[in-house]
Amino acid sequence: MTTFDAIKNIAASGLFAQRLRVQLAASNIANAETTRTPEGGPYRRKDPVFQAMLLEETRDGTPVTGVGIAGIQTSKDPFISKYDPSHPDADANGMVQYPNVNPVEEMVNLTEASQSFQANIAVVRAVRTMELSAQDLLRVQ
Amino acid sequence: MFDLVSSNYMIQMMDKSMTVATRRMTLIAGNIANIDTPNYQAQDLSFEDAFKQEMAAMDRQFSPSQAMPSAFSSVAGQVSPTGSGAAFERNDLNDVSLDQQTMLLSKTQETYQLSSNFAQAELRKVLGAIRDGAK
Repeated sequence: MTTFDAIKNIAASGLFAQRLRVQLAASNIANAETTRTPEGGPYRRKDPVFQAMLLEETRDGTPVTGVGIAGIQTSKDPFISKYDPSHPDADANGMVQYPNVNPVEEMVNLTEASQSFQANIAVVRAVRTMELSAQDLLRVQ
Repeated sequence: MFDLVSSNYMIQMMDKSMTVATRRMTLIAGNIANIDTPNYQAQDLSFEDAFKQEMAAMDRQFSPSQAMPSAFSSVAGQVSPTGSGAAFERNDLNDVSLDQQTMLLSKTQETYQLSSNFAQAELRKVLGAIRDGAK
């Protein structure tokens, strides 16, 4: 495998990680008011856990370090309780447990993820320019 | 056998410069991919040791009769953490700075293109010599 391909693989791993992060943020925002889940109880906030991952080593010994997903963490933060006796999921005191999702936090997460995504796109662009200039060496006339 | 292209001093140097640029690019891509990974330390190539060795070797070789020192024998830079000190502003012990990495990214890209252009110019010269000889 050429080194250019290795660099593209790294950028691809970064793009995948950031896309997963946006996906989880979207599902957190969408479920910010969900009181019923298959596991029972209100929805719990989900967050990806990233880890550095050695994809391979090039022939000259440069480590090709991409990013991997170690897992998806389900938040253990306490639920937000609101008083709403008419709600079908209200307890004996009329309190309803709502998900532990903070929309402001999710928005910050979204912005950060989209910027990191663009940074990885910049890497892909730079590598493409380098490849083109290497190909130009064949055009000596 | 004397090879017009691969024994050309300039082309040898540019070849090495492009190799280094590609290696550095691999590390920058890894840093940017891991921009949100906790505990990740930014990596870069360091040439201090390699450069000192080469300079010492050149000093030994260099004599007034030999005007041109030989080309760098290797491009063995060490992969090491940069220690950019960007970690103080975040609390996940990750010290990748996006500004720094983006700057390095475009710098490396420029270096690569410049070396490639130099090599191309040198190849044109060789081709010109061949064409003139054929006349």
